[in-house]
Amino acid sequence: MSQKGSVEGCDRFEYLQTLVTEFQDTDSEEAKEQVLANLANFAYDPKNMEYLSQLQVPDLFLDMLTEENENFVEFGMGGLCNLSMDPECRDIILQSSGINLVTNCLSNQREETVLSAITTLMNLTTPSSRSQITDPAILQCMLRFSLAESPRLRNLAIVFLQECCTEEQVAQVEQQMQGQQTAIGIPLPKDEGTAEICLCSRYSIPGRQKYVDSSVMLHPHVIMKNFYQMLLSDSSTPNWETICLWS
Amino acid sequence: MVSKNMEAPVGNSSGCWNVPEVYKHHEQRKVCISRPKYREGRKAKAVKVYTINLESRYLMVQGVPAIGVMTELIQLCALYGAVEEYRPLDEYPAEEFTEVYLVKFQKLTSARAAKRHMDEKSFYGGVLHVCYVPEYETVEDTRLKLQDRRSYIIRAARSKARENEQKEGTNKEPTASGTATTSERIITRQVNTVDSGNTSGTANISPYSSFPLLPLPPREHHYYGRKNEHMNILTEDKMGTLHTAIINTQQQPGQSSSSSQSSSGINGGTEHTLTLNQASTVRFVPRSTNLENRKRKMEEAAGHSLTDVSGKNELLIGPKLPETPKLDMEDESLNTTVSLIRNTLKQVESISDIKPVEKKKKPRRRI
Repeated sequence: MSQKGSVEGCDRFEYLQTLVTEFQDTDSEEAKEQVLANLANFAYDPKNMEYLSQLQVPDLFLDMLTEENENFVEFGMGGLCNLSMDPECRDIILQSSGINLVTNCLSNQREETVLSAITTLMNLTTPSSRSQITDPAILQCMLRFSLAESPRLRNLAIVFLQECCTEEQVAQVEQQMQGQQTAIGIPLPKDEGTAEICLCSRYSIPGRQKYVDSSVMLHPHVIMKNFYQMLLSDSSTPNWETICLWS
Repeated sequence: MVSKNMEAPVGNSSGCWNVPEVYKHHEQRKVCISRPKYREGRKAKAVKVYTINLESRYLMVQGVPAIGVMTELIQLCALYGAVEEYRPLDEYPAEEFTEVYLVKFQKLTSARAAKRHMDEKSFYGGVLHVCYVPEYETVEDTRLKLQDRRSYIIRAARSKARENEQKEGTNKEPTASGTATTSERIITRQVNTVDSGNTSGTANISPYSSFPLLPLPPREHHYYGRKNEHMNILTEDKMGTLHTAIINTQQQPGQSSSSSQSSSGINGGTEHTLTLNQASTVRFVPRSTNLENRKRKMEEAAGHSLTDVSGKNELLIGPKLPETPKLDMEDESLNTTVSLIRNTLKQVESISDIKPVEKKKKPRRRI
């Protein structure tokens, strides 16, 4: 009985280790997804945090953020969202320069991934990381999200703006937004064909399709550039904010 | 009681006449059937990651038979915690002859329990599908939810650090557990607990100060029991038993809450078995066995210090025993039982000692 605690801990550690090993050894995408989801869910329970950080699972999750498989990104981001609540894991993520990787996920196509990224950024906010997390580009993105149609995204972005930065910062960024746009939070299209459809549908821009020539197959980045120019040209109109609504 | 405050989530552009949106996370995902045995949970589950963003004290209950059983449904919900508000979601697309309800619990934990117990359960001839609907939260709801979660995790981390500190203390004592693997883990723990700001002088900490936060590590009572031994050998057993009793009652709510938390589908399926197993073993080990076990430990440690060289220095650190504990139970059959238990436990221990716990270095992939 007196050994139970540590024996149980050993078992848990070993089990998690088995999962990590399987994740690294298997070639099956499906198995990887399952194990990754398992690990991300284990990260919800504070009992496991210590073992997970010993097994370098925070780094494993961070690695997932740059994967092509969207499920990997979503699960990895979810795992980070769970882990980053814990101060120790938060520090590990910060040390592995997680802020940039997480910030990139703000532009993800999937709402769940974006939500996890916002919460993670909030969790990662410490006195020393605050300046990086309240970068004008990120605040602009949060301002756009705070106008989103999806209530979850809107609420979370508002909470971020309330908790992570000052009102002055927000006001400053709002002013900047009249001038120029940043790309953070705007989903990067998958390929040429769907790029502009994706952008126009996500930003529900009535009658603006003419700005993007659908007959020309463009590289996604070129389409993005055009899109920003379109936003820029619209910034003079009084209600340009409505353009940024998510569809 | 049906409230009108809970309005459908209204976007900037949509009005109150809009049909509530059907979000992807409302869907019941396909159960995953390709998991290998060791990763199988108790229940078949979909591949899905739960985060605090997905959880909510707002639940949507689909598949309620349209036969006027709203009161019964809410009564069922109330079994898991106080229901603050509820209303039928008439506008939500429902299957024929069924209704959809929105239920707002006072606490997230209640919603979690309700989801866990009610999802996929039959109810007046229908099968319920229960899911979180965080899109009904207000900004304030979301803010508080995150705040609660964060403080819960920090509390857990703190009591864990304290627990580790105390474990350090007990591990240094002459127990048979001074193996290389455990001491290695203690070292990492020490590193982990450095920033918690507490000194490692666990002996000064009042044993009860740590009770309400987290169940004590199971070793605990045997540590204090031994301290009492200095004073009065006769009451040692009684005190030990008393401590065990306190710990057991303290532990049970903790265990059950942790298992209820983990089983709500938040954690990977297999963890159910882990936590539940733990809970049941903690619960069902008779107290007399604990006492025997403890005696055996002390005796074994004493034996070790005479014969064994390795790890002995470490074993002798900490409060020392004033005398060798009694080995003889003064009864033949009792003695036989003791040695039986002792041998079995030795076997169990030796197996757990063999298991490698060395760190698996993950080759850092290039980003």
